[in-house]
Amino acid sequence: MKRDPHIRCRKAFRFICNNLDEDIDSPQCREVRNHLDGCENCKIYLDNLKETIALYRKYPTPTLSRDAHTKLLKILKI
Amino acid sequence: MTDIPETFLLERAKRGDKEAFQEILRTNENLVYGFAFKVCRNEEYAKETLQDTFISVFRKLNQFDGRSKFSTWLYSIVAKNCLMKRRRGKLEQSSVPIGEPVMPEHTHEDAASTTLPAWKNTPLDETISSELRQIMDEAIQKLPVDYRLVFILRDVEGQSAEETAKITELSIPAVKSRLRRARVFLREQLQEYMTT
Repeated sequence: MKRDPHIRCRKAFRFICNNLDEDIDSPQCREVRNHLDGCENCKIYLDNLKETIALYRKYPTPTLSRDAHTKLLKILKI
Repeated sequence: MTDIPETFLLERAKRGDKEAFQEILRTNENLVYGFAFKVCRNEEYAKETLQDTFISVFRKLNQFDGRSKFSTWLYSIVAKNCLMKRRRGKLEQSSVPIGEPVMPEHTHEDAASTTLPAWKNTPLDETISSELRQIMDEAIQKLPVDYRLVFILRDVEGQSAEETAKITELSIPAVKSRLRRARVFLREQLQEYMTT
């Protein structure tokens, strides 16, 4: 029996959420890629997840002030 | 002192060399402070966590056996200190229970009629607006601390699933499950702002 090239969104959703950061070339991964080619909603969803992560990576982190560094040395008595 | 290998500095610090310990502190304090800030979303709590972490490092350095990376050991101490803060009720005032991720409202069959709205374009080199920062802070503060730790270690700090499991003392399947739920939850929290 010929396999449906478009796996369903639910399966794609689970796979995308689990393997977002892994560049793998398994048969399942290829299957998901085929699905994404034909499903605009899943493609948007994947882009949203990637954007969410990119935004948290981009969020500026404060650096430690000189005063806080000096206070830490005092606390540690070094 | 910046060219001295970390293993050499650690050996010296273990023997009580204060200068070596100062150098270890200097090279790692922003990693510790940055990670603590990303979890706590509060500069004062991050400073407290930094102090607690280096007090532990100073006291327990002889217990570091070098089998893992020193940064992994540091991350694990920060994670423990953040979890302690949670126990004291400092970090989870606004957290909500995180369930199994629910698929967005569409299926392939009706994709033609129901299309998810695309997000606003936010170029990577553009500064995040203060409004979006506030939404991002509120969103991540709704995550329980153990989910926050996994999301930040994996997706923000770039640690592997194995390192994250070591740091958080969770199994790899537990790390993957928390990460999946955290990603979906945060995406949902940003959805409204990113589509209006």
